[in-house]
Amino acid sequence: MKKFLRNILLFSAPILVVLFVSDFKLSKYLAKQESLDFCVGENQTWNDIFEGKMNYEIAIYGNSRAWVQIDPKIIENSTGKSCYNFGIDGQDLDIQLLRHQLYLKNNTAPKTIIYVVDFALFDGEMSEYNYQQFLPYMFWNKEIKESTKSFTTFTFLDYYIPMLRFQNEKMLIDKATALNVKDTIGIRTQGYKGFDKVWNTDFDNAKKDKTAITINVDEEQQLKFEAFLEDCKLKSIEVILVVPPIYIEGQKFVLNHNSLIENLKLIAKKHQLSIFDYTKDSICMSKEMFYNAGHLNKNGAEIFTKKIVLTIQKEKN
Amino acid sequence: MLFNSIDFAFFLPIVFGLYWFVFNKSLKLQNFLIVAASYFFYGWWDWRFLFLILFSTIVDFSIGVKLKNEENLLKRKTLLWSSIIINLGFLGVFKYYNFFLDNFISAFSFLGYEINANSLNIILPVGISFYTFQTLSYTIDVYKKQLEPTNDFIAFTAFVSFFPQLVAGPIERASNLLPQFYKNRTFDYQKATDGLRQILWGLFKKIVIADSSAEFANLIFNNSENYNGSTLFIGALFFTFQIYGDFSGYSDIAIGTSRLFGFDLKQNFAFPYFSRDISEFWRRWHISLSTWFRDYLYIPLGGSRGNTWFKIRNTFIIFLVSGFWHGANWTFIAWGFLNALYFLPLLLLNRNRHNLDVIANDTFFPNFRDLFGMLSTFTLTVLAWVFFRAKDIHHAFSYFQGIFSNSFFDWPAFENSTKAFNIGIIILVFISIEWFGRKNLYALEIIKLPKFLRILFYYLLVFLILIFALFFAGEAKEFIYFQF
Repeated sequence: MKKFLRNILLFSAPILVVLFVSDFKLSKYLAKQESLDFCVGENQTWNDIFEGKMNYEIAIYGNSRAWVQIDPKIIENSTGKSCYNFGIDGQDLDIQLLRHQLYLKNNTAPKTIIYVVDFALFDGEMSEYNYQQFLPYMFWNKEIKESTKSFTTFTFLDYYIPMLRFQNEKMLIDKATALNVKDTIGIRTQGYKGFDKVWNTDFDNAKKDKTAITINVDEEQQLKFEAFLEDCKLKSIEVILVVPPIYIEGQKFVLNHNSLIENLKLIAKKHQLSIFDYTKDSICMSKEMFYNAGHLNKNGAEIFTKKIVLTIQKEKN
Repeated sequence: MLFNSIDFAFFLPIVFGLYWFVFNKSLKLQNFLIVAASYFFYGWWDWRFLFLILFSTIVDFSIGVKLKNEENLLKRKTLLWSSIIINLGFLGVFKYYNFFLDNFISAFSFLGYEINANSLNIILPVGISFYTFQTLSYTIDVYKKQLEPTNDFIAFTAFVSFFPQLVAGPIERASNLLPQFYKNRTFDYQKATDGLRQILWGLFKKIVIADSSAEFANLIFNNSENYNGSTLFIGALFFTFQIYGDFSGYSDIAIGTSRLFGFDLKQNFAFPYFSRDISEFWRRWHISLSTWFRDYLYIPLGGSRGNTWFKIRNTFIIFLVSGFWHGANWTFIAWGFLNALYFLPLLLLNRNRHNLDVIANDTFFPNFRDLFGMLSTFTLTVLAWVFFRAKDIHHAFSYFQGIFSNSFFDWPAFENSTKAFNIGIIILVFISIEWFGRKNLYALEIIKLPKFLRILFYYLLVFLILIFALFFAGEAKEFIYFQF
């Protein structure tokens, strides 16, 4: 039996070495795919986080309504403070807080966080959209495991067995290989990507096909958010909440839109934070500022960012 | 739990470790561990059906015990038929209920009577056909007094549920497997390494050959109306290697796994695609099922004794039942019927036991006659698989129509044909390896290579398996025979 076990170990050792090395190499390779075609360029932000390059004074948090709507360059130019947009496309609070957690773990904490909050912040609906963005970083990473363990795409073993999580990802790897890495680096500017697009038909189609909905507040999600606010207070990080503009017709799709925003205001009050609500701003009336009901185009984003800067400066003064 | 899944990669070493290091103090404990592991293995798929296996086990164990002390022939027959009715009853309900119902409805509708009956949403318990036949063989052998019934319930439960072969065979005879549960098992290095080698070959067959062939077999069969005759033939060829790699791969893993625990299972495949006639093919394909039908159906029916019509009748019965065993669909019955037609000339010319040895036994290359026999048998088999793979009988006939059309002489054309070509090359290499090893129990049993090259070859297989499992085969795919 000893001979059998010894031979098994000797035979398996090179296989394990190859698997670990392949995993490392493939992860590195995929992490370099910083193009819009590959997980909408989220890797660029993740890489900077893991490489400890995030030494900014102002951080912008939130989902895509942060990512495509707030230009950190404008904030930098107006305030003289360095700024990065950590907005993550299509992800809920858990993943937004995961990014925050990893950011603080590997980098210097910011002085101010501008958190873009919206009606769907506490809807508690976990999205697995763009789950591939975690593939290069999730191996033996306990923070990512904790935040993504409810993803049906990942199994427990995916976090610990080399290469296993790449099973069924051949198309992704082919796609990544087809992209020219060097040509596509830098799709985001300090995390931000403005979309120079005109109004598309998403909203008009939705208007035809969908009925208005009511969004429930998931208490657990709200408690997590409040814990995050408390933690920031302890770490002397100032948090400013911003409710972004939504095209006025789009707001009608969420029946309890106003009460959801009021809830956010109550949280801000409870934690003595500033909250700026742009859902009644004139920008919400201008269809030409949006490319769909929930997202401003590049022009709209620039105007909105300037408005935020002005509001914050006014508040501070 | 699938053999080709990561779950099994953890399950097997854990059970192996417990078996040889923790439960090795007593035979009873080892048998108990096998039962527990087997039930866990099966329950991983659907624990509810464990009760079905347990019930079958209790029924046949109890009937076996009763048969031991019963000399009254009528009572013995009653006990035997109780077992047959209960076991086949379960099989009938779970596997064939909807088939019979649908066909009755269609038949009555054809005669002008409309019947309203709803088919049931029945889940087919994985491997029910395999373990049912295994337990039945026990009761029949005990009834015939060819086997001493067991009083050891744990050993019997382990025999019925033995996890390596529980869900897709080989269908073991109690006379071969059950006594192995009574004997102390000591670790045998040669046996264990041989087992690992057979597992490796089985995984290669399943993941590299079967699952990659499946991609093209599925593509062509699922869109058969869009392809010309030559492409349809290629689709049937891919399915031919898919089913062989899938099923014989499973058997190899099952036999290899059993050897790790000190058990010897019967060979289930003996290089069937090198057969020189269809009769030889059936002696080499799914041997455990063919011999089961031979011993428990063909011979009781009279076998090849009696006049010509009697022989023809028995041949058709055995092939049709064998086809129907595979699934509740007319396609399987047609597949059985076609094989019976293939077999008939050999039977009538008394040449059905002509090729009993291994092809090219004393030479490396076959002679022209053997080569011709092999290629023609292979072609007939490929065509028969069309029935097996088609979704229904109409699909099978339209598929044949496509193959036997003028477009058979057109150049094959289908998506991803470069990849298919590469898979074809791998299949050719695979066939060559099988040819080299055709005199063994499985192709890799004896490799006449220096140690260094042999180990290098094993690594090549491991990496091919890993690459295909990760990037080409997709998620661990179920074995085709699980559905039977």
